[in-house]
Amino acid sequence: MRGGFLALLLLVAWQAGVELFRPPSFILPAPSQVAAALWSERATLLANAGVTLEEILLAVALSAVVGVGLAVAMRMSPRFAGGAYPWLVASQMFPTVAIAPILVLWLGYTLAPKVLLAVLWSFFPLVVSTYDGLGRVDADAEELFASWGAGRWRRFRALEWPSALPAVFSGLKLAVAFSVSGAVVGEWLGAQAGLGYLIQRYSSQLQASAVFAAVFLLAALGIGLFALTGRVERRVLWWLRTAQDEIGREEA
Amino acid sequence: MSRGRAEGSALRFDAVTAVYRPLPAAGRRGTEVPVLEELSFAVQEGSFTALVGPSGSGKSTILKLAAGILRPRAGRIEVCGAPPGTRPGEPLRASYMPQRDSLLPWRTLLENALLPLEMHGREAQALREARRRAEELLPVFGLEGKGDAYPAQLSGGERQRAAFLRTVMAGGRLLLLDEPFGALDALTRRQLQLWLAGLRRSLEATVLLVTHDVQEAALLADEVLVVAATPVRALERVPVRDRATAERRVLELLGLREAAPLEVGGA
Repeated sequence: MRGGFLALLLLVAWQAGVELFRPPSFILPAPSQVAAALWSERATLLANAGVTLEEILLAVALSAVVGVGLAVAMRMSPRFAGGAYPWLVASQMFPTVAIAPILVLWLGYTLAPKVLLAVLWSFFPLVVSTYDGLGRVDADAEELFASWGAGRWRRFRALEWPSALPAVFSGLKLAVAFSVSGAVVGEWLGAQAGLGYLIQRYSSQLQASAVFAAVFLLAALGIGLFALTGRVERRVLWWLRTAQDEIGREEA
Repeated sequence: MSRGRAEGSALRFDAVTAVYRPLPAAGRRGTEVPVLEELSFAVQEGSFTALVGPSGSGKSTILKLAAGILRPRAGRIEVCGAPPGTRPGEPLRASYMPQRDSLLPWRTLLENALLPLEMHGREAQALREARRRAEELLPVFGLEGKGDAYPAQLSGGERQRAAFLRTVMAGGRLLLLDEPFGALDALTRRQLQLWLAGLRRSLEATVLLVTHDVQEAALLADEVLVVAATPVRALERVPVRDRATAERRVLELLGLREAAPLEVGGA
């Protein structure tokens, strides 16, 4: 609610500022012009947003599989963790943007290089938070499971995985945010469709209001996906809410 | 349960030595602290024994060794005639109950109570039967109608009783209770102590209860084992014939009361 009010205030100030100072419209268009561009370009914008959305969703799904899979494997085998962790960190330490052109070179003007770049950015927070989450299991519960002679996989399914889920969702939300930037940067470096590609094209044609329209649509896409992940999180982790409610009650 | 085996001991420690390795403090290497030194004692089958001692005296270590969670440095431990711990497929001999209930918040009360058997790899058929038995036991544990409730919906006393139901459902003939009432408020603790005292006769199990509450020990147990010094080399035995005498004797052994030689009875 407060966020919405603030956004409205900003829009009004923006509109007023543009009316007042009249900057050239290819530098800063008024919100009304952006809205007009959103409407007039709606067919192109929507078609390209669909492409970017596809890239983002593919990247998030792939990151989830690769990231969670790696984290689980690392938790299951300390030896694998010892070998893999340095490489994981290294994968984030070289400038990914620099290898993006190579990806385009290898994979061509397809979805693949964009998805790959987005995955490269977004799987890392997922691995790290899932791995940490799997390691942060209640020590008392671990002893209890040991006293029952619980096997490795049974303990994983009944105790470690549910305990790690809050951390997995934290990683997933970061992955969604990183995938949006990853997909757009991937498009900048060589694409024939997508919002990133559109932003570049409008920009080179000095159509500032259309650039802003595309950026707005992209932001809305990212925020929507983030909020959706949050909703799923609350649905899946309902017990976390009730447990916190109870802690609140005990303290009161 | 056959009476013929009443002679046996449910738990036997034979010259057991154990060490505790505290987490290393920043910049320092953890040094081992001896907790048990060649400790020998036995718990009679069918008895209710309380293990009393100050905090950090090694009571919980004894319990965790018996539960197979910790391993001794030296010596032998036998639980119902076999080494502690369990392998999939063979029934649990000892059921361990930690101080905190450790109920999983994403499972209902009944699902929590069945967790030990589930983790032990029982088939669906055995689990269904166990579920029926757990449902029958709910009223006995003061949890009638709460089977499908989640831990967050239960009161502190109910959670502790649910944890106790889980311990009983695990199926061990030796129940290892680690300060089961320690985390409760005084009133609820008293209620649960009286409840357990009433339940005690219908429990077909040997109970080893760790506590630092001397009154609780005298109320519930037929025999109190006192941990007076750390590292633990021996346990002082105090049989409970009448509660007041036993309490006095235990406090005396703990050095918490002036010696009153005329009142000393039993051992």
